[in-house]
Amino acid sequence: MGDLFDIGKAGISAYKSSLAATGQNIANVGTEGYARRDASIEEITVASADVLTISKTSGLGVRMGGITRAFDQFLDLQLQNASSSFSFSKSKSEILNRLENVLIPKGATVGTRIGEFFDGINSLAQDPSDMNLRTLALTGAKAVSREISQLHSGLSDLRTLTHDTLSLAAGEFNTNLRNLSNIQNEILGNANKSGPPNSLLDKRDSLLSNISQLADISVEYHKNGGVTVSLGKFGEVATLLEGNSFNEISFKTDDHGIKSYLNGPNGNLSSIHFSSGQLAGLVSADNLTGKTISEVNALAQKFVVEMNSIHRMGLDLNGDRGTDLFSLDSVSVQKAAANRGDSSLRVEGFNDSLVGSKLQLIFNAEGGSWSVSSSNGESIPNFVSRLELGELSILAEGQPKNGDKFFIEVTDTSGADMAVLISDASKLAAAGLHFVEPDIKNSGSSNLNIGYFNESTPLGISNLQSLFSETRNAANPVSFNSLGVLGVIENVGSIEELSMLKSQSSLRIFTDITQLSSSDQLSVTLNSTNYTFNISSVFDDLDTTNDLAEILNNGAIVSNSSLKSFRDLGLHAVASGSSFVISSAAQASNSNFPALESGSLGGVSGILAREDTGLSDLSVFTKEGIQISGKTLSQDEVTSYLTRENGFSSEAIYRANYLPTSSNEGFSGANVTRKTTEGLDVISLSGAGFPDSINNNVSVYASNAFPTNRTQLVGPVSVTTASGRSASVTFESGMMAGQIAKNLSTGLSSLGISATASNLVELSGIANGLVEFELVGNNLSTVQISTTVSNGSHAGLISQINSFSDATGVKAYSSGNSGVILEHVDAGDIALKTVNLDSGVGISVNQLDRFGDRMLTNSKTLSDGQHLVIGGNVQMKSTSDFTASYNGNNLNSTNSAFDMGFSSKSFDIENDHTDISFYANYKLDSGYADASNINVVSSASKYSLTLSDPVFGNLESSFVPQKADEFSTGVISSNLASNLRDLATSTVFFGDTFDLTDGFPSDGSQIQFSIGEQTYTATLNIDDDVQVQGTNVIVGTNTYSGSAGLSELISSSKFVVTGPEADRLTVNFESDSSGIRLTATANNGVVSGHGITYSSSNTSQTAADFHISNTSKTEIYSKYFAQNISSNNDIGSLMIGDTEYDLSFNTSNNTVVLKTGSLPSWMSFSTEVNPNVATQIRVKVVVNDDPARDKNIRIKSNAVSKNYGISTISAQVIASNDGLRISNIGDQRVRSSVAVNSLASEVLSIDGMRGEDLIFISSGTRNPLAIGEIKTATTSETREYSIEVNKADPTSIDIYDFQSGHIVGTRSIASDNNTTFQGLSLDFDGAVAGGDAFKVLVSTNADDASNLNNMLDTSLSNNQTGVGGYAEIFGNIVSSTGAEIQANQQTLESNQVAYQLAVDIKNEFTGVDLDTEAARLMEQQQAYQALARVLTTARELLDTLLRSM
Amino acid sequence: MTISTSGFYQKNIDLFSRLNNEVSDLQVQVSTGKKSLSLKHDIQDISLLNASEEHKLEITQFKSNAEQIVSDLERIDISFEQLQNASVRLKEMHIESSNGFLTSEERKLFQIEIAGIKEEILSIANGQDALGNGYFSGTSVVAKPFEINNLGEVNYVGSAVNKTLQVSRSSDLRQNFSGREVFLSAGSGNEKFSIFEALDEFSRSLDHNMPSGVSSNLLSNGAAVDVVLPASGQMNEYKFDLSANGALYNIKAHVYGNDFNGLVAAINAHTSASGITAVVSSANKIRLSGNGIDLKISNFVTDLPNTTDQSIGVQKTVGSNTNDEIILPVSLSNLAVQNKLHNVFEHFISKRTELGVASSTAQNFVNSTQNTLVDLSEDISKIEDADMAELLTKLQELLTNKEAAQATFSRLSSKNLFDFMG
Repeated sequence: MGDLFDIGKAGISAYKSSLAATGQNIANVGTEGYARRDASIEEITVASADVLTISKTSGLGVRMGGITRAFDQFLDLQLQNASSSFSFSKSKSEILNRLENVLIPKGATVGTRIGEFFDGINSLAQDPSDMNLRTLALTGAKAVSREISQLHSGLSDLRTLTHDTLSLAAGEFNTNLRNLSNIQNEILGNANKSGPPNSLLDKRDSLLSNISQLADISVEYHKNGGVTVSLGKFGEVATLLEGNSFNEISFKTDDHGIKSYLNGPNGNLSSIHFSSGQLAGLVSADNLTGKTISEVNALAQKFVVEMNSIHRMGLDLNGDRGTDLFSLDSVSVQKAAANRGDSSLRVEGFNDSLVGSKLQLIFNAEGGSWSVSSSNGESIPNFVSRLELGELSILAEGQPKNGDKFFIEVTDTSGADMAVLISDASKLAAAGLHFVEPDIKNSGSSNLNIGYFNESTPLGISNLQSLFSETRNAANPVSFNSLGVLGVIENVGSIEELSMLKSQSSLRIFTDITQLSSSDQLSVTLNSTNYTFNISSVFDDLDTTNDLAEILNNGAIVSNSSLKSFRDLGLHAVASGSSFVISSAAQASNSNFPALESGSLGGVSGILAREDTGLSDLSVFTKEGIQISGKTLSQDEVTSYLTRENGFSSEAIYRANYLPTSSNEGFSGANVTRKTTEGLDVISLSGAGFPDSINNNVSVYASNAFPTNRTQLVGPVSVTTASGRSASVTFESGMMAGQIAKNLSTGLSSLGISATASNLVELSGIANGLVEFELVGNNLSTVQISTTVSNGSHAGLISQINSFSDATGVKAYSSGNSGVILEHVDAGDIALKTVNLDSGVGISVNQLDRFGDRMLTNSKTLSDGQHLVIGGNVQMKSTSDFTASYNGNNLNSTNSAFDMGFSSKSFDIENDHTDISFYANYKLDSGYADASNINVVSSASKYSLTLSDPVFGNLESSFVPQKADEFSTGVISSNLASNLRDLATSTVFFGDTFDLTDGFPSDGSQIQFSIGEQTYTATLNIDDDVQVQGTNVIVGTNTYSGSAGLSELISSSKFVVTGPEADRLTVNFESDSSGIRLTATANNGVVSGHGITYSSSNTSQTAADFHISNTSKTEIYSKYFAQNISSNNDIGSLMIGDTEYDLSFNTSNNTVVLKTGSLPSWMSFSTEVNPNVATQIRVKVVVNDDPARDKNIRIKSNAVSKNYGISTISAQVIASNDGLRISNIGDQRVRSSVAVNSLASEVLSIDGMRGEDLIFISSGTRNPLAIGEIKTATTSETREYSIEVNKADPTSIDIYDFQSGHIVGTRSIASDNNTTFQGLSLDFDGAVAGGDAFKVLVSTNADDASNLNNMLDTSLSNNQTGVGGYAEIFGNIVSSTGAEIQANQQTLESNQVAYQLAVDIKNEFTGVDLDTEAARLMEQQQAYQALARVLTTARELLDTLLRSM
Repeated sequence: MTISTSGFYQKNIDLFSRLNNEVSDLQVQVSTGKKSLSLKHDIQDISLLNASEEHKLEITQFKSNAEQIVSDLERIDISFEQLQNASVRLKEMHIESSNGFLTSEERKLFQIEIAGIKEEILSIANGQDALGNGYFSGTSVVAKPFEINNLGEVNYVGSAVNKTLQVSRSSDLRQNFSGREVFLSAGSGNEKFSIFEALDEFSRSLDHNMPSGVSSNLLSNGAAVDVVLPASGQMNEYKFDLSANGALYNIKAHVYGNDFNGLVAAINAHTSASGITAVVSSANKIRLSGNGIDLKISNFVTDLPNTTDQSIGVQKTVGSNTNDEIILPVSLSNLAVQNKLHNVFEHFISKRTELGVASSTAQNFVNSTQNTLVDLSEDISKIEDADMAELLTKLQELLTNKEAAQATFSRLSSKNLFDFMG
């Protein structure tokens, strides 16, 4: 019975607990995270009964087995995954929904605005001058700008929202993680045998659910109720929670996107990646937003760049060039939060070069200025209140405090800042900058449409721009490591003296001052000769070896025995540290100095780097393959160099047509001057054939023999260049020199060879009397020339010839004393028919070349009754060697130093003199060390001039400039002239002897003297404290008389001489025992042998003042010569005008006498013994002064004169800052030649290049060394073109620069009738025919709509140029974004279903269902009631039993 | 399957929310008459709609351009009618002046009338519309595209390019004419000439009684004849046809510095065929010899600038200094003038036809673009406009669904086991 009670009691107790569990379930029916509890009741079996248990078949009732929590790990994990995925899509969807609203708002989109913009442009195209339409078009532009800006702002705002949301979500994630960690601690701390409390597990699972919504996690459940939480799959990403430790997450957001990190225990951050959950959804949405912003920016930039590019190529209503229409520029200013002052910063304008950079401005109170640092490393000066950075102005206002900061960011790519720059509608560049004018004779049916685009530059091409600057000199040149294509310089405006340098030998000795002693020597071996320099005399002054180098360079130490200085030997030294370097000017091309072979300093031997004798030539090309400088290339070189990889256009064609072969003539209007020391290669021929030595250009025909046919070129001239190119030129019957030259220039242009022609004929020795002839030039009917020459004047003859110049094409100029030069202006033939000379004296005839030199060694004589025919002279010129053949004759080109050489020569035909100038550059040849004294070059320049008198020999002079101020044509000319004069005769003028009683010229008196053509004025300057009173001279307070007075007066009287040349004349007073006299000395002598004369322009008062009378005299002296030289009866002549008095020398009595005749009484000559060398004598000529006398008195040399101290030529030489002028005397013509040596092999200068990209190529055998300066074009000049469809191949077009007519490129239009060229798109809209021509000209029509049409063309994308298609691009942005949105929506929907399913499944397992609980309640209630009945029954049974007892 | 009570409620809440949203969306569509297009569901329609609207905008402009062209060309057509009339009169005058019995005074009268017509044509050429746009100035804005100088030479200072407007993506049509193509480009191929120069040549040809570009038989007086050529100066090109017994030989040579040997060589190059031999007889005379040959010179062309030097003299009596005959340059011959005037007439007709074609084409574009616009509007409407019947049907369905769901929920949620417990 006891058991029954126990059964009932236990049952009641058990079901009471069950009821409590059910009640708990019912109570928590709506509790979030609550898992249903199940009470388990189990039987109390016998086995577990005590020993008193009776029955073995019935148990002892029930007991509460436990209350279990509904939990299924799989279901939870499934729910976590589904929840994570759903949250990912949902959070992303929320952002993308907003993105859609921003991208395609109600009303209008960017695409709509772009369409409206083009709509406005199209309307304006109907009448471009309509201001209303212009305003509407501008409004459309503003609408586009505004819409893009708003879109950008909307997207940026969305990004900010996303970032904020992400920040909140990250906080939530970390909070949940922290809470979970706390719960885990409780779970692990409260665990008992029956496990942790279910409520903690509910909280745990609820937090895990929350976390799984935020991120993709993996959860590992442990038996003790703890969990390990990982991000992503276990161990693959990171562990978030394990045991008691957990790691929070963090995000960094900026314009470039979001980066996520796991915060390590030590504060270290490690990158992590979320693949699912809300956080990942937000990151993914942000990426899409960022991508959309980038695409919008790209669209904005493309739109702005392309529209601006077109707009700039248009003209506004005022006819002005279009400017930028849109802007993306932005300069943002940010003030540091910690600033203490009240200053503010204002910016104006924009600077393209600063784009992408950030500036930091910090105020320095001590200096009172702002210091600026730039993120791009550019050095920017400090400023106080205003800073100008190009067109960007920064203005600081207010009162800053020390350390105050501002940040300035310069960008140009953000659509947010898009704006329209033009507010005046008339500034809209509607008219095309170019317009196309088809040639009227075009037979094709096509028009040419012009468009514009930004041409991209190929990558990988070396940009030489920064290499060339004015700071370089010969010692620190740009040193290229290889030959071939050196690189490109874009947008070239000018090139200044780009010089290719030769190599020099150098000796490097490694020693320093501490290793030297005063007894040491410098020893150098030059050309097998040893030169030793003792350093003992200067050793004590040496601090460094460079001091020694400078002393050697200055010439303070000379070689021991030969007494040669470094300069004499062509050496130059420099030292730095332990490096002592000597360079030598001796080169293969310069034998003036001995070659450097070895050397030592203080016993330390040097290491010799020998001169590299290899050649290194520079060629300059346009990207289209047009060579504008250098030597012509071989076909192999062309194939190798002209490639796309080297920077050339893919359709580049090699052309040598524009190689300059004369100064200031270059490609496409640029002045290209290429100089070499040797000058151009030239071959000369005539209208009758070549060479000149066999031609009969100057033909004199006997009476009645005037030819009926001209001698002329009858066959082709074949030319072959050194690079292996050849061409043959044929000539039409009758062509003369001028036409032959044109024909040659045309036919040989592809070889880089040009031709020029001239026809200059010298007629000299025309005697007085009637001169008649029929002149024939271009005229059909002969022109009768008839004039009488009298007194040697040919003015009438010249005048008469020139009166017919229009008909004949022949001009006449005065030549020498008795001559005339005839010039055919077109280099045609000149004929003189039936010459009638009354005098009977024949005329000397010679042909002059373009420099005025005689071409025939011996002039021909044209006699009375004869005829003369002269053809012209032709010169073919090239920068390279070439050969020519004609009619079996072959000629090799020779160098002409005056044709694009370091010297130039011109013949002034009107004034009958020749001018020579010199090019010199101290940066090349002045002897330089680099900044660090490591490298040095020795001055290698030398200028030599030879004046050749065809009969009387040569005068030679040379000058070696070394100091910087010596490198000018003026100084070089002056020195050359001085050297020449030193070789010739000298002359002095003496006034009359007088004393003070005769009077003394007053202060400021002037007197003039003549030396040949030159006139000099001498002004007397007497010191202010000197006075002449009678015969006394008062100096200050002292009075002098007699010889003492004269001496004082002379020393106080100085003449200041002014005239054509400085230091040419010295004027002073000299005294002797009989008094004083005026002397005037021609310094350095006179090359023509003339004497100095008292100028006829002086007044009689001047003569009286300075005591000049007919007893004054001019003396002319020869050089001293050895009196033992053999006798000769003609050692030279005394010339009085044209009258010649020959001198003879008799060595037996050392006398010089007249060969025949006698001199006038006012002229005499004698010999003088050299006071220093008694065995030498000279000739002295004395001429008494007479203002009316012929001043053309001189000593003239002959072939042997030089041996007798007489070296003159028949020309006067005048030096000026512009160069040398050579004026012939009489009828002579002196030839002149020069030789120049320089360290440079060539010097290239280009001016007026219109922004061409130039490619530089070096050929030869030596790596190039170069210096020079290259400047980019500052303003882009709009080019005009003429375009011709190739006649032979109508699928290609040739493009010419319109102004110069030079071809600038060739393009194929074979593919689809269009092509591009240098930023222009060329579109032929119909069938073209060979020979069709189109002019592409700069327009002046402001009412034209062609630029609008170019804009309209961009409404669609151009497949070839990639320009345009903006609305389509925006559509693509919408589509690609839309596709993402759509895809996410679909994912969201499927994830939602999966999530709901997971929720349902879990709910099914863990959720509370009231019906179920009600049923259980009823069950448990009934069981409880039944058990109570059991107890009652048991009690009744017991009562019954008791009652029965 | 069991569902928890709270889950049951949550599911129903979600269901009602979704139904409400859908109903709300339908209401908006019904009220606006426009479909609710979203990138989530209608990306293709949105793309199509954008493209269609863009196209419509473009076509609208094309239509406007075409209408403008039709209007502009109609005005210019009046000028062409006047030009055509003038050219007819010129042809008539040429026929009238071509008889050999006119006195110099009568020819003078013709020259006066030619001058008048020249002025009239010049006036038309400088015509403008009410806005000051030149009919024949092309894209230029100059007020008068044609200028006449004191010598009577007419120069064009307008643009060689006519104004165009785009009427389709691939087609531009002319809005006006360039003066160069109308007045300076008569003739065909490489033989284009100026209308004004043609008038001048017509007038100059009347200076001669019998302007002929073809000589008589040069050898009619013997076996040799001297032909006197104008001086070449530095260089000149001589070009003429030599007709020997009807066979034509093209002679062309450059003469340099009056050296006529090159020209002689060019003639003698045909000697074997022509039977004519040339020699330089003196200076600028070439003696042509041949026996019994009917020799004529025609089509003489020279580019010598001075008109007084532009003719060839023929001295049939060798040695005589008298010019027996003058051969004018081909450009001044009666036939050449006649051809040119005919070409002028044809040219104006051709240009007027061009105008008509352009105008007609523009009108066609007006019509076709109109049709396209209608089609586009329909397409846009199909995409954009809501189908009311469909919307209302769907709305009804949704409302029914919602009602049923609410009823079911209400019914289901109104009773559970607890209600039956005592």
